[in-house]
Amino acid sequence: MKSCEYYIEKISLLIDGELSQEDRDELRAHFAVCSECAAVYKAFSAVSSSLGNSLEEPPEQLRGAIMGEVMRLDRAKKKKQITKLASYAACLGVVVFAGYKIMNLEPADVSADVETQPVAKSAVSTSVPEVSEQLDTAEAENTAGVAVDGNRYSSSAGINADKAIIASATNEMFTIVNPQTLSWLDTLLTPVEGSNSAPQDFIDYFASFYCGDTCIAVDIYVEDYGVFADFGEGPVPVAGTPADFTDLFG
Amino acid sequence: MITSVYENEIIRSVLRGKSERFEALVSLYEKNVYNLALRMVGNPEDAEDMTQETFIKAYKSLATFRGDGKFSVWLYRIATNVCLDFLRRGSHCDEVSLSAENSDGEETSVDIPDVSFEPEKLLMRKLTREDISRGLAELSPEMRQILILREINGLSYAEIAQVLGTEEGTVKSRIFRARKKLCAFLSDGGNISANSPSNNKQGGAKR
Repeated sequence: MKSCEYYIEKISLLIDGELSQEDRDELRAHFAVCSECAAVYKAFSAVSSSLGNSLEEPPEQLRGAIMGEVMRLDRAKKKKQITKLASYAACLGVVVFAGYKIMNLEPADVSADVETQPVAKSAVSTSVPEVSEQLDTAEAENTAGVAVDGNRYSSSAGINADKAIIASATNEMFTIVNPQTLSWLDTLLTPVEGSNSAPQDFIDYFASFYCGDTCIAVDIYVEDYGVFADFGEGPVPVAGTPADFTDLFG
Repeated sequence: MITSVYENEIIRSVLRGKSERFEALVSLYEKNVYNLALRMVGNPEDAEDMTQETFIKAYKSLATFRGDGKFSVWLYRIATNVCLDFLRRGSHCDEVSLSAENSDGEETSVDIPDVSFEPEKLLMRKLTREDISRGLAELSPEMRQILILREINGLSYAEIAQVLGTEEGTVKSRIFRARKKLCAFLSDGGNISANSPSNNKQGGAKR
């Protein structure tokens, strides 16, 4: 016969769901013959649920205060980076331009040469992370140079992608390999003229388009008044309607 | 134990320079972090400061977060450290030093080795929020921390071990002892108190 002290330790594990089925059965059998341990179990449970149920709402202003400080730090950091970047302005100009080319995906005419394209893309893909970080920085303070490439939105994300993985804000995952669906998604994500009013809400879908070895990330915002996609330079209105996206992803 | 796709994407875009996206992480976890802090430091004003400090630290060190563990676990680790630091440098020194002395031999730390309690007495009472707060305040900060991580933040033993940088076996026994001590306090209307010197004798004599 094991001592009650042995069982009492196990009770703590039972409460925390850290006990094997076998141990659970053994413990329950002991409770049937030992009212003392059964009472300890009840007491532990009572305290445990009081603790778990005692959650309080944080003060309303808290989130704003945190984000205020975050954005202040963000501005300070970017200012510092901009100063640093300015001293490299000359060589950066080239990189930024190349970066935009990549972020915007290839202009339509590139798609003609299907066979060589993956090679070409993978060759440049290694420089993407670095470049894109600098881009965000540059974009934040100064948009001069951003619109240099007249074709920047002439082709959209899905072009030539052989796979897309979409994650929704509700944490659902969609993997799309069907060429027709990919092409449809490409159509939906084609930037259009329209209000540039920024989306108010959080991102609804994170899309990753795989073109050979290159992965292009697009953030999609579905708002009541339209759909926006962020190809790395801030959200722009796109051709798809909110209903189109509901049809695709539910 | 991996960070959700959604969280990873937010983190990625914050790191790409879109700091405003950090708000999504704040909205997901502010309640849990606030309650963790509230239970650790014991009052709303300090808990608010601790919560803010936690998120700012998380934002500043986001680049060091590796996506191989849960983001929540990483965040709670920051939160508990922020709170413990606060308690150490604050006026609660005497209480903390008791356990800090023993931090190497953690198994021998402050609690009474063999606390007993009468479960029937405890079960007859209606546990109020106030009771729970007073009970938690009786525990050493380290005991409080481990119980909060389990009960308020719902971490598994393995995750708590990760937060505290310790073994699961240690987590198991510490939680048990913390729980027993809290029950002892609650069943006794506050007569058992290992930390408060005035009550030491009484507690010792009882057992």
